Amino acid sequence: MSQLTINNVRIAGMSACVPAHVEDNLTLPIYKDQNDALKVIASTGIERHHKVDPGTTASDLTVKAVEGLLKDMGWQPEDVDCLAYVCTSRDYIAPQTSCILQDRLKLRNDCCVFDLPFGCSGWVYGMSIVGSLMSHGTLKRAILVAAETNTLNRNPLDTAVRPLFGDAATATALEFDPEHSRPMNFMYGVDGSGYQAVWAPYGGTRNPVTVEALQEKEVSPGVFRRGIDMIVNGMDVFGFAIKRPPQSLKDLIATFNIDVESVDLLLLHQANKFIDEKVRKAIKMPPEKTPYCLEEYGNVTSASIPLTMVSRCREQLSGEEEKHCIACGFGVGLAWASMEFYAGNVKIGELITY
Amino acid sequence: MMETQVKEIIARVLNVEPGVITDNLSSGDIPEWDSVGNLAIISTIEQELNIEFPLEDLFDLTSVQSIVDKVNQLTNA
Repeated sequence: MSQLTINNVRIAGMSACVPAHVEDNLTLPIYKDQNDALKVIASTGIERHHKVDPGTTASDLTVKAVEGLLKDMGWQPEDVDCLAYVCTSRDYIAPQTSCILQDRLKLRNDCCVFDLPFGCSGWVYGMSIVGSLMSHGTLKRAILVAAETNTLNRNPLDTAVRPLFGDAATATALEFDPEHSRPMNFMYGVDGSGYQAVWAPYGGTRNPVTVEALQEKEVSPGVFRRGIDMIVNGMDVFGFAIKRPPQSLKDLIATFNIDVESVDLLLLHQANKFIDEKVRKAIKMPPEKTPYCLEEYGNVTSASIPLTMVSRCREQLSGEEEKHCIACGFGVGLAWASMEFYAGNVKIGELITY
Repeated sequence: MMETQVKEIIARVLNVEPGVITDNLSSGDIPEWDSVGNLAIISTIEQELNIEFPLEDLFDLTSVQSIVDKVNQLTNA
């Protein structure tokens, strides 16, 4: 099993920004009647999500989140040595969006910036990549962004996705701090044979955009899509989600000898409440240690774990006493990753709206 | 035996006539029984019958017969 331990790096701050526009699932115009909406809410736990207005991108939300984080941290833009942008909703095909963010955020020209086009596992993967770079000791301060505008690449007439996904940007401040840090442990997983479980078939180089790919078609009764829209094959995702994340967390617990009773927070990718509850029960974690924000924000892919921390765990994580956390991100790829970390004295600002 | 009760729940959750829910009906056979419908069926049965489907069995619960069999197994245990 691929595993990693990172030393000398700690989470120092977090911020999040969501669009002000809220869509309530109960009143979405895609259902035959309210019973259909209630059925979705009851089985997924997702009541509403935040949605960007036309013209707003994930990088716009990111600028707000990072500006808030810099202010909370008392950092100047020139203090940042590294910025990683976990996002698949890129501004342009080229260049990578992190280059544009370097300029917009006034980061140094010698700042290390890069995109990481991960989906739901992205925050955990990003933590391991940025943390690993920092652990060498020359990059002292870094920002890990996890952002997505899911509502822009999913068809609003697709009843299988519209009620479930929302938009958000989060920023996590990491510091090289040998004195106050504890090891972070990671486990990885991938099964590319399932790549069509969550995918956008057209728009890349394998299937370039064609006129036909831009035309909306009724793919099943009441479900409309274009070739460039993201497809979520619910049954495939369900099968994956009930198998891989619980095993990944069990592997993490066994590999790093984690005493589950000592864990304060189980931070799960906010896929849907039914699946997440099955994962929670599989590792015998009590409900009070498993926070959710999906009822309010839906599935915001890579941003879902840090958004849960900012919106639901602010008090716990900003206190003097360190909290023992385990987290699992899982989804598009199919890819998944789990991590163990400690967090305390984390500067977390109020949730920002755009 | 819970067959009648399970079929009644499936019909109600999917918002179809009870006669539609035959023994050999599976997910995907009717538009109402999509992935969200399947999730709704399983979660409603768990809630209303106060049972918990084991994690390892969830993926196979995609037909009337498989759900009825599993519910019978759990309620007779």
